[in-house]
Amino acid sequence: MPPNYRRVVVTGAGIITPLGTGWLCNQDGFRNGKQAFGSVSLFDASRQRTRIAAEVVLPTIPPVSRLPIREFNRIDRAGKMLLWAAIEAWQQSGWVATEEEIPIVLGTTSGGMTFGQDFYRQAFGPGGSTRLQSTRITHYQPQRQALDVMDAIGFSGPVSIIANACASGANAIGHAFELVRSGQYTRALSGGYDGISQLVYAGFDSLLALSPTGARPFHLRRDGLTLGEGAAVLCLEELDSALHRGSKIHGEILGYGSATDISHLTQPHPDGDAALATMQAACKMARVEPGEIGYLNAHGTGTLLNDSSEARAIARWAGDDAKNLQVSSTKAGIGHSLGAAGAIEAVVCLMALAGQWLPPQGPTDDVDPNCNFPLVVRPQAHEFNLALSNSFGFGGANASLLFGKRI
Amino acid sequence: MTPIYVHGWGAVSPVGWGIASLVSSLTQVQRPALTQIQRPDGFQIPVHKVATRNPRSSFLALPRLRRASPISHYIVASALEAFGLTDRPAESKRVGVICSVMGGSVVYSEKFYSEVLTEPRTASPLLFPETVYNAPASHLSSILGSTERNYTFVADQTGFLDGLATAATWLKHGIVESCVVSGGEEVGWATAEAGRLLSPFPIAEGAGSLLLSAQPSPIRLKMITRSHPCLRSKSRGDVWRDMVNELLDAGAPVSDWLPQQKSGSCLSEGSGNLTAFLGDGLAAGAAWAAAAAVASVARGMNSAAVGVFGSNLQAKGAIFVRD
Repeated sequence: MPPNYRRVVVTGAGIITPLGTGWLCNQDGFRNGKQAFGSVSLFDASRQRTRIAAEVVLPTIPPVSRLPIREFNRIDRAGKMLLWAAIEAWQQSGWVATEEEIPIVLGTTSGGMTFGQDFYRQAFGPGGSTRLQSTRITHYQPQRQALDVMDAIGFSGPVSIIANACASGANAIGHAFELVRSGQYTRALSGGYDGISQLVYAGFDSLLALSPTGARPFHLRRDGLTLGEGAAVLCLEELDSALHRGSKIHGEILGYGSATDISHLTQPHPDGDAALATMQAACKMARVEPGEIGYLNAHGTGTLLNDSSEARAIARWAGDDAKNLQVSSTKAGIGHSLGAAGAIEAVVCLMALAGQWLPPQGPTDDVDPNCNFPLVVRPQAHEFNLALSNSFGFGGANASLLFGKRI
Repeated sequence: MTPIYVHGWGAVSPVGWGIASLVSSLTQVQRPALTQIQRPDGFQIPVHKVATRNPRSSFLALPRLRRASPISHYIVASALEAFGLTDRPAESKRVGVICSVMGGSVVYSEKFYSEVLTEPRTASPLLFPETVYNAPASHLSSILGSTERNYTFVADQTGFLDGLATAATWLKHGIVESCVVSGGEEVGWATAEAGRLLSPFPIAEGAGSLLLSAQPSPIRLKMITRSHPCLRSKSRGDVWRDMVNELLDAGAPVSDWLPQQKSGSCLSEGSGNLTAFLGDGLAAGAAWAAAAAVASVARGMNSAAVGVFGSNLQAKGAIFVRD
């Protein structure tokens, strides 16, 4: 690593998923491979081909913040999930708001989409009433949700929203990592969030990408993904700063790779060329070899094309080391939370590294023959120092993040 | 600090396809005509649309763009112009791509959601992928044949300048060899209605692009201001004034910008308030302002500043100089 690059550690992490709100209950859920699939309740899915999703149960009381309750109530479901995760991360880190600028870098695919849908339906209705429409427009925009986080916590800094489809969360963390690593900032708040919306659910359904039975990543007879939702936020900090504060350190970000699959708008290259490139780039940045990686949190959506492409990419990347590489997709438990996925899976990696366990994806009796690596299918302890997380999205947005055990 | 240079620029705007039509329109003060877009209940909203290009560009026949929405066409056209091309390059370009949008692919989103509300089982699988924010950026990488890094930023009008700052960082750290930064929008009835409710200007569509590299060229990106966020704790007037003062401190002769501008304004030294002229192009507005500023430097000005007062996120500026 060139001497002018800073080491970047994670000093706070907040998470909300269909498994629950907060680090502890999610740690328990991921460690034990719990599954949170159920019937769609957020909108009428009776005319869809599939009716399964993994929904978040939002806490009934708002998080403690500087945001007036009236303002909090104006925020949509996705924005509320973001706030829960951001506030937990901030509290864990022990950060105090000062005059220092702290950038916030978030990934999302649909921001406040439910407001967009409400806006559309009302404008489409008779008379085109404008009542509440201005508020819906304002809160539909992801940058408003980022500003809400700043207002709720009480800090200020530049806002970046990266919308790289299902790699958004990983790209956001990677971007924030580079801001701190390059010395532009000492700290950065970063993560991803997305709520399930009717438009996006219907979109994946129209593509026949949703599983009617529930996602089974890397299974030979997998039949699609299950949509999920949630948010995860990390507090990234220069190592020296964290050590100076005596802060608890969850882990270190060691590498980040990002590349573009240009073969098709929605389908990955069959051999996973871009996926291979991102895994190689993340490892090259960290100067580690595939054989040193103890766990890989796969993108593993459960679609036919993604999983075979990713499995081939892993085989190409790891070579003979693949037979010892522990791999799982936690989307088997919480579904695919799109822009939140990369951030949630980053937190899962940090949890697993901290606790020295592997997150199982549940029984997978008949594995896709492209998988030449062991799948983690039941809870198990595991001694390891490095975890890699893959995130791939529409438009060929591919990203990999490499995490190291806390110092 | 590694100097960053501008190697090309392009624009598609309500006054035509190409930077020449934008510059000509600005210098001759020829405003674009307003057209009407119809809300579902028949209510007419004035907007600035981009006229269909005649003859159609050959790149529009490429498989990736045949079903793409207008925003992708605008972004690709302006980016190819920045490369000095009219069609896809013969060889792959190892170039980073950064696109900024505010509304994004709204036209297909409107169509798709309409189909969902009518009968979700028959909603078109061809429309949905084009509604995703990063579809235009993905098409652009594909057309350029580049597998390098590709980001789409969602922001207010200032997103294009965030894109420039990110591109500069990538270039300084050798992450990419060159980077095309684009800002683009398309107008649908929903954005027109949103603009009618929130913006003092008619909504406009189009795109603008700059091609950046660390290799020397006559025009240099001298600086980009820090972000000046619009928080509840600070008046919008103070946000704007702080940004302009940062430009002044960096040597930009922009004292006539000091009066508070309206939200969504994109200003370019030498061209004035482009938003008042072309309409609120959202993410495209800042790209037009930057392309116009660069064009001014290319025509002989020693420097040109850009200032953007976003509608809800931040104020941000940049300075381009002749080297």
